[in-house]
Amino acid sequence: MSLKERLAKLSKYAIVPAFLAMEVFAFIGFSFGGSFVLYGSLTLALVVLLIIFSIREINRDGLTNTLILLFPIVMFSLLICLGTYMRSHVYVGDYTLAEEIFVPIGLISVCLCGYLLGINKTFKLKTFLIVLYGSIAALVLVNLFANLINFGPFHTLLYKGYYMYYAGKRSSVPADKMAYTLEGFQIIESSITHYVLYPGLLLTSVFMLFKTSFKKEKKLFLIYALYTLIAVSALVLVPCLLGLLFVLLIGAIIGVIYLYNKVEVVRKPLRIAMYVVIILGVLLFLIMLINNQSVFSGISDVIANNSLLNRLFNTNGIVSKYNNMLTDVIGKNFLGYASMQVSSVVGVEAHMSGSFFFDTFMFSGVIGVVALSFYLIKGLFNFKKYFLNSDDEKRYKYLLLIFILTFYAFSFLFYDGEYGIYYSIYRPFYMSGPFLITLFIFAYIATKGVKPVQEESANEEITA
Amino acid sequence: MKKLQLKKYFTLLPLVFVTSCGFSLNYLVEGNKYNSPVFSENFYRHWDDELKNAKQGKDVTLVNTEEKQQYFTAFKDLIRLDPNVLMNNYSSADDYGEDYKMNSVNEMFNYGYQSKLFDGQVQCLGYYQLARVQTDSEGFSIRFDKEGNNLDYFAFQFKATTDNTVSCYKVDSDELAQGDREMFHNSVVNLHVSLYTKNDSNVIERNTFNMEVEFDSNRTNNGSYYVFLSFSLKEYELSRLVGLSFTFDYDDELINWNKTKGVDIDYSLMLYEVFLPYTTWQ
Repeated sequence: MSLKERLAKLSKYAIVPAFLAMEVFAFIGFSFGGSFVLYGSLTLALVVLLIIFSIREINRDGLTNTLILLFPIVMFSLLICLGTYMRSHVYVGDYTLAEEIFVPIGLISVCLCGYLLGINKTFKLKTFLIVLYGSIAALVLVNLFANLINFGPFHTLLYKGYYMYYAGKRSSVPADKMAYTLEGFQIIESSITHYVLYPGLLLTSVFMLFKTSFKKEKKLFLIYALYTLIAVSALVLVPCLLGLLFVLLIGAIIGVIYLYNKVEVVRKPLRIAMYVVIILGVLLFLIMLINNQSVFSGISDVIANNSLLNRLFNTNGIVSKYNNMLTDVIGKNFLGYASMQVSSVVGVEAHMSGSFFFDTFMFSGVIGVVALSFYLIKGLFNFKKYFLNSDDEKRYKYLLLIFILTFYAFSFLFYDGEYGIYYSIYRPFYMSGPFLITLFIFAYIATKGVKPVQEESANEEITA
Repeated sequence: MKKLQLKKYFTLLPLVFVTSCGFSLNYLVEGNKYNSPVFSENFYRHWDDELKNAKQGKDVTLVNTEEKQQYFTAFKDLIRLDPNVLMNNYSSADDYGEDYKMNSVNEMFNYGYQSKLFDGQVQCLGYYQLARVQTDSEGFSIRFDKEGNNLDYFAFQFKATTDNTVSCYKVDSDELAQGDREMFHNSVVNLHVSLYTKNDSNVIERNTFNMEVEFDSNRTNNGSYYVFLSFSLKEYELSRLVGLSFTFDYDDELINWNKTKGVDIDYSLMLYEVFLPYTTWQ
């Protein structure tokens, strides 16, 4: 049997790795203790399987697109791997390079999975999303029951200002800022910010209730209704301001998408508003950076002397954490933390800032920030081609977009990677399940956004 | 939606409330309670209802005289109860505390305000009210989530003290004391340490051990702040330990004298660490 015939025979079983992929991503969605070595190993094995079973589907255009997208991720992950944050915080004590090497292995494998599943004809996005949301729902349900068993409902309202004593010490945060979450095989006390992330992401499934007819697709409707119910229960029974913000955020994103689709007259203003917000965001960030590094003392003086600007750039609780991060990590050397990779400086005193974007300065330096930003921006722009060229159902395309926008919008302000109250946990966002899922989604849509290969040229390849 | 399906979903609702047990609520303490710079605001007087209403079992008065020593008031005497203390060559109660702390024996000792008594820290170390459980003669109880067996001996480190922030008179004098170093006086504390056990009918019994400790308040009779008190439990054949409590009464010279002067001073037992070595918990 020739190699081509063997590959043709194997491609008939392409559904097997597609099924396994769903299992792996369900595992990742469940965020099982952030065990990165496990995620990296599983996704690497999956990539190998997918290549074997889908090799005939690999085309030049899709692969080129994916490699362009992969390059910044390779840079980002290598900088993390070589950096001292992993060594000093995540793996303390005796570490081996083998553990850190799984960061680039894991991130690159997840991206390649996105590409390979994009070209796998047996892969069904509909089923994948049900499984993915199901795994997040399972995690949310476990966390919810853990909170009900330990604290009862509405503890954040009933026990405001109460503290827990553990091992003779009072907790660093009161009970209303604390919740129980699953971490590996145990239930631990975590910050409420960490708890809220998963029901918030799960709540994005509410979009499907607007796009699914109960009469025509009863089963699908009920599945997403159950996911929404679990998310709402988790947010209502453990109420907090962040949960409310999540609801508003998802409502705003769905509202904007709805308006953009249905009301033609608002499309242009919305597009303009989006560009204005982006430009404003970049401008604010640059001013913050210049002010923090005192590049131009004139600007720093103007900000310090104006009460509104001073509050905005210096003294408010959120920005002061970002300023501390930039000061600690960038210092005088603009390459910042990345320049410390080779010199093996161990131990960085900076704590995570609560924003995935600013934390990236600590993990991978300015170069890493640029690389990750390029990946995210390119990924978002790929959605346009995905909407135009892909044969996936429109509602699922929107669901992917909503999931990504919700995760990054929330994590920009509220990602908590040091969420253990009594345990020292360092879970940078690049080790979190939702981030890996968004990496997969970006790679997947980049692949699906490529125009389909002509049928005639495909037949010519087979007969040659 | 059909009625049957609606019913199915609404039957899930009671499940939510059935699971709402609130086990960790017992470990919550309001705000800065027991953490005030004001002495009288830090008295811990929590009593478990079952222990409070327990039936009286053994009531033993232990003596510590030249002829008979049933309890000891210094760490150096612990070797009489535990030969391992000599073998491990512990120079102080601090090292012993780190090795014998109860929270390394069972996770249940990590939870709650009383976890301060099981964390291995036998001294203040500058943490004042954060390091200790302070109580008055009303005392407090601790309920265990598991039952303890194979009880060997009981030990705890404490000090007893008056509120030295209150301006008061020196004993037998009209002169006001200037700081606690001028407040040395005799003090007798009658400790009532109760160990609660379950009998064959699962009824909780209180087994009380009474001891008298005489010392200079704010100082012990052997020159240090603390009393490391220990006594054997072997001969009492106790099993199924489910809780313990501390109460005390006292006769303090300084308080008595100042009462005649119209000045009321609070008195407190400050417990730092409790040990039940070699006890098995299940």
